[in-house]
Amino acid sequence: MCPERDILSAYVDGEVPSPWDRAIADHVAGCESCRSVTERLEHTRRTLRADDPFDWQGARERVRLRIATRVAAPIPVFVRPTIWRRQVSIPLPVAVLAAGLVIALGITLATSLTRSNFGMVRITKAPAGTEIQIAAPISDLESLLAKMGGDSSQESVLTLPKNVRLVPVGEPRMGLEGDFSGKKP
Amino acid sequence: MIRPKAAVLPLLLALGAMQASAQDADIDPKEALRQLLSNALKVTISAEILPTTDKPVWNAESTNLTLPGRSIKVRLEGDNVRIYLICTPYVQDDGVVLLLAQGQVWLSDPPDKESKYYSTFYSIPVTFGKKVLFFPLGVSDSDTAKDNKDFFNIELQIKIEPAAQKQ
Repeated sequence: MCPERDILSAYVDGEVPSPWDRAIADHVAGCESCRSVTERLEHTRRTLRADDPFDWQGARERVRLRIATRVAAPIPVFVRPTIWRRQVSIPLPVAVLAAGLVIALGITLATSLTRSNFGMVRITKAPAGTEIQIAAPISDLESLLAKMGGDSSQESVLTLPKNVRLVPVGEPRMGLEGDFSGKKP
Repeated sequence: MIRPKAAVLPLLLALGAMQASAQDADIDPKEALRQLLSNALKVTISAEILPTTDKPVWNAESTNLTLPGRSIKVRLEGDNVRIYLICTPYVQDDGVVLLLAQGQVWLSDPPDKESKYYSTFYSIPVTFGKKVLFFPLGVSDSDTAKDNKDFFNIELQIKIEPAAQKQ
C-alpha cells in the first residue's frame, strides 16, 4: 500500500522521523508510482530553492542611494520680510496708553454694534407687506409713534347726538362707495 | 520692544470706534420721525347720520396716522348703540391698500330691553383716496327711508391716503 502524497512530501522535505523514513525509502525504491511522485516533489523543491525571484540586494542598494540623495539636498528655508523683524523701542507710558486705548475702543465698538442691531426697526409682512428702516433705537419707538399721530392703540371716540334713535335695517355691510350707489338708507 | 504693527493696531481701532460713535451721534429724532412719516398712512373715518336733508342731522370725523399693519380703532357711542370699528391697512406691492376692517355693533331696543350684537369682518382692496362705506346698521332702499320720517341710520366712510404726499 502506497503512502499518501502529503507523507511523501514530508519525506522529501526530511520531516519524517526514523524509523519511518527508512520504511518509506524502501517502499519508494520498489514502487514506480511513488518514485515518480518523489522525483517530481524533489524537482519542485530544487527549483524553488535555486531561483530567487526578487533582487533583494539590488533593491537595498537603490533605497540606500535614494536616502543619501535626499539627505544631501538643501532644505528650503522661509525667510520672513525683514520689515516685520525690525523692532523699535516705545516708551512704557505710550505702550500702556495704547493698551488702554485698545481695551476702551473694544468696549465702545462692542457697545455700538449691539446698539446698531437693536436700533434697526424692520417690519415685514407678505404679501401685503411694508418694510421700514428707522435709524432710531427701538426704545424710542413708542415716543416716535406718539409724535407721529397719537397712540393708535387707543380708541378714538365719537359721541352720537342725544335723542336720535338709530334703527337697524339689516346686518352690517361694508364695501366700496360704488357698490352702494342708489341703495343708501 | 514693540513692533510697528502692534503700535498701528490701536490707532486703527480708535478710528473705527470714533466712526461708530459718530454714527450714533448722527441719530436724529426728526430724521427718524421723517422716515416713519414717509411710510405712514392717514386714515380718515367720517360718521354721518342718515338721511341727509338740507340740514345734516349729525356728522363727525376722526383722522389718525398709522403705519401699514397697525390698526386704527374708532368707537361710536349713542343712546342705544355702540359701534366699534377697527381698520388695519396693508400696502401691497402694487400700491393698492388692502383694508382689513372689523366691525362690532351693540344695539339695544328699549321696549323689550334686549340687546343685539352683530360682528362683521371685511377685506377690501382699495386705492388711495377712494372711500369705503360701512353701514353698521344695514342698508335699505331709499324709498323706505323717505317714507319713514323717524328713520335714522348711520354711515361711516373710511378713506386712506399716504400721510406724506409724494412729490
